[in-house]
Parts: sequence; C-alpha cells; structure tokens
Amino acid sequence: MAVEVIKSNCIGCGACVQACPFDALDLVDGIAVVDPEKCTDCGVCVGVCPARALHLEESKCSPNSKEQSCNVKIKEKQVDNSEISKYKGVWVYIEHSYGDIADVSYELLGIGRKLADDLGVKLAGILLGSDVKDKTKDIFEYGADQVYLVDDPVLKDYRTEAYSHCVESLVDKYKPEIMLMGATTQGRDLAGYVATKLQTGLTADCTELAIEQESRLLLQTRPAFGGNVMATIVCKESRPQMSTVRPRVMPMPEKRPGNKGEVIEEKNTLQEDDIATKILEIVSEGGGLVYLDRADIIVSGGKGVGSKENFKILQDLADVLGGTVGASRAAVEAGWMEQSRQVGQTGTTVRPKIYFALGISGAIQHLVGMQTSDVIVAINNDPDATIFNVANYGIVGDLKKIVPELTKELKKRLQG
Amino acid sequence: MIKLEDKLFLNRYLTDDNNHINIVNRDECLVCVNKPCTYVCPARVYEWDEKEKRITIAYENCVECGTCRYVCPPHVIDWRNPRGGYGIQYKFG
Ligand SMILES: Cc1cc2nc3c(=O)[nH]c(=O)nc-3n(C[C@H](O)[C@H](O)[C@H](O)COP(=O)(O)OP(=O)(O)OC[C@H]3O[C@@H](n4cnc5c(N)ncnc54)[C@H](O)[C@@H]3O)c2cc1C
Repeated sequence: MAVEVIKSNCIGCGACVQACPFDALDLVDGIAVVDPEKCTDCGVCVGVCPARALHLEESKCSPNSKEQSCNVKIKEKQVDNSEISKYKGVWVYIEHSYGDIADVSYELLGIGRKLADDLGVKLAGILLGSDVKDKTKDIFEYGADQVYLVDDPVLKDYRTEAYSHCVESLVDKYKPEIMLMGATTQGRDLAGYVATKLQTGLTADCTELAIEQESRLLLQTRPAFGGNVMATIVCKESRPQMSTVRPRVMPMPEKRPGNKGEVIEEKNTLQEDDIATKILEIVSEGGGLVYLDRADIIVSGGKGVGSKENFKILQDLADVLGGTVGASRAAVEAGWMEQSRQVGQTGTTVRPKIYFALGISGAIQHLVGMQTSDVIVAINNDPDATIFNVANYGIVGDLKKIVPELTKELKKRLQG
Repeated sequence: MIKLEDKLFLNRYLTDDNNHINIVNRDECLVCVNKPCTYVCPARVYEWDEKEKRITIAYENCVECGTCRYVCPPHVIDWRNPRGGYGIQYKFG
C-alpha cells in the first residue's frame, strides 16, 4: 500500500515532497509521484497537500503497515493520576548566605503567591541552614503561609549533597506540586541535582510562570534559541514541577509587615561524615567588582556624554541616588568607561528599578540589555532617538545642562 | 529606512573580548585627509571622533570583509581575523 496521487488535482507545488519523512515522493513532470517501496502510509503528505491530491485509504491498510506506523509514534505513558494528585502546594527554595536572604527568593515568593492562589493551595518556603530560625519572619512577610525549616550546624555552608538531601526528604514527606528556585549559582546547582534524584521535570531560566486552569499544570515559559522563540514547557507526569527563574525577572512583591505563618521543623538526617565535600575557606569577592545586574538604580551614559570628564556628572547623580554607573558600547569604545560597565547584547543584561539612559540613542543591541527595567528615564537632544520608544519619561535637551539640575533637586529632596 | 544597527542585529556574532582591529599609528589618522575607513566600511566600524581627534573602532560590528586594510592610505590598520570561533557567524551566508 502507498499513498495515492489523484493526478487531476495535483498542482505540482512540491509541498508533499518537502514534508515526506521517508523520501517517498518526488515531482516528475510537475506531478507528484510515489515510490511505494519507501512509502509507509504515515499520511503526513495528505495533511500538507493544499489541493487534496493525495489520498490514503485507511481500510486498505494491511495490519502489517498499521503496525509500522505505530512504531513511529511515541508511546503514551500511562499517567497515574492518583499518584500525582497526592502532591499539593507551591514551594519556594529560600536561598541565603549565612542568613542573608537573596532577593530572588522574595521575587519567587511573589510569583509563588499568585500560583498558589490560582491553584487554591498553600505557599511555602524551604529554609535550610544553621541558626536561621529568626529569618522565617521575613519569609512570611513576603507572602509565605508556611516555612519548612531544617536548622542544623551541618547545613552552615551550602553543600550540594547536604542541601539536596534535605530538599529531597522534604519533598518525599510533604509532596509539593510546584517547586521554584532562583537561577543563581546555588539554585542552578541544586535544582539539577534535586530534579534528577526525584526523577522529575525541571525547566531552567523561566521568564513567565502561570497555571493552566483546567489541567492545573504549571506553564513554564522560557526563551529558547537565543531568545528568538518562547517555549512553554509543561511537566505532565511527574511531581513536583520544578522551575528556576533568574534574579530580577519577576517583580519584587509588596512586603506585608506582621504577616505570620506556620513553621514546620524537620530534622536533618545527614551526618557530617556522610558528606564528601569539605569547605576549607570562603573567599569573598571584594568590593572592586561592578554588580550591574544587581543594582537597583543605574545611571547609564552613551556617546552623547561627550567625554570621560563628563561622566563625572553621571557619577554625581548616581551617588545621590545610591545607584551604579553604566555605559553603552560607544562610551566604552571611546575609552570613557570600563567594559565591565557595558549594558547590552555583549555587555550585561540589567533590570533595575530605574534606568537612566543619558545620551544613548537606543540601538537595538543596547535595548535588549535594559528594556525590561521597571522605569526608564531618557535624556537626549534628539527628539527622534529610538530610546524614547521605550522610555517611561523622556527629556529632550542637553544632558550636560539637565543632569546637574536633576542631581541638585534630588539632593535637596533626598537629603533634607 | 531601516538603520544599519538594526540590520547588523540580524547577523549572528560571538563577540570576543579581544579586539581584532587596531590602529598601529594613530598620528597618521590626524593627517589622513579623507579617512576612507569611515565611509567604506559596510558595517560602520570606524568613526572619526572630532572631539577626541581619534578614530573609534566598533570592532564587534565587523563582518570581516577586509576592505579597511586596503583602503587605508597610510596602511595603519592592523586587522587580523578574530580568534577561532569568534566574530561573525554567518548562517545561510
Ligand atoms: C554585535 C554587536 C554587539 C553590540 N553590543 C552592544 C552592547 O552590548 N551595548 C551597547 O550599548 N551597544 C552595543 N552595540 C553597539 C550598538 O549598535 C550602538 O552602536 C551603541 O549602542 C550606540 O551607543 P550610543 O547610544 O551611546 O551612541 P550613539 O548611537 O552615537 O548615540 C548618542 C546619542 O546621544 C545623543 N546626544 C549627543 N549629545 C547629547 C547631549 N549633549 N545631550 C543629550 N543627548 C546627546 C545623540 O542624540 C544620540 O542619540 C553592539 C553592536 C554590535 C554590532
């Protein structure tokens, strides 16, 4: 059996030739021709033919050929729904450095709250560490209903084995349906390890998370192929559904002072001797490095700043606001700023609360690194500059005149 | 009209931190009359900065055609291929 060509209908477009996975079709004198040797009756060509010139009679399929086409199909795994429905609740892994909680964990509590509300379940934080009991207060104030706490001297430093072991045993015992972690060095390390151990699905670096109401599945959206495609991924058959999210992708939630919740304490079952990794020394990076991606306020200058000396007026503005100075590629190239301060495609991607674009034209390579900032303020003497398309506030004029005025006024208001 | 930068954004680059274009003797640029590098380059890598009196080099734009090497009258552009794996990565080129 092979697919049948209705010659009078065929327009010779070749769509079927392109579509056939088995090379069974060809165009001869402008008409599709089938090689019955190669045709497997898969029917792909029938679907793509715009002229209904291809026909596959199902009843004529021999049992043998049917079996063949079945082989191509991926076997649907039998999902045990009763097992999946045992998992309830949204968990956020609380990352901290000796009790100092990372902002990304609060951001995740924000989105976690929304997911939990949509599902009608509880939101919990997982806090592992040594002497961190008093930190639960902040976790509740940022929206958690519960905190699962393992407080043990063994957990003083972050170590993959110890932390993943705790997370795993908590999951096994309390069965959350969703687990979120920050896509930080620690989160990326832990998430992969935990997901593999739990034999569940993990989507890294998500930029959007939502619940599909009818199925209660977590829709995990992330950019793929260098950001040209947004892929939405679901984890249908195993629990928890795990995602990591980069810092500053989700907005910071409102703090609700006085919000309280339930602390569930668990014992750590791992002894120091069970852990192969020993920490000898923690070396801090020192203050010299620029953390553009963590700055809340960035004052960025471009070619329009005019000279290295003029960057001083940007520094003044940054100092008054407690911000960091950034730069466009053109300003870096001119030698006015170090490369570590470059924002954009080949520089750092930032999402501050406020981004000042001063004398920056808004080339696409710059925009991709800053356009998700919460508020963008642009100052440029060209009213047609592209930067004004993304700016929330814009001033047309000479930055050398405007910025010092702005700094003066802000100083007056902020410093009394 | 679509801007050159927007067109360059359609290219795929793996930008190296190492600059592969250098001007070996910038004094020559000061006396160069027409500065052909600034208008011959298809990716506008070279620009004359009137204030600083120097040619700026946006090397990450470079499409590696090599034209600049030939048009520079004093031949002061030291142009090398970017390191292996870096630079422009033509797809369906
Ligand atoms: C592969 C590749 C990667 C790149 N990566 C990056 C990147 O990571 N980051 C990046 O920034 N760029 C990057 N670029 C370069 C990018 O295309 C632009 O060339 C660059 O962003 C332009 O910087 P600019 O806006 O400072 O300069 P310009 O485009 O020259 O703009 C200067 C602006 O200042 C204004 N101005 C002038 N004087 C004044 C004044 N006195 N007061 C107020 N305004 C004034 C002008 O109107 C103009 O709008 C990349 C390019 C390529 C090809």
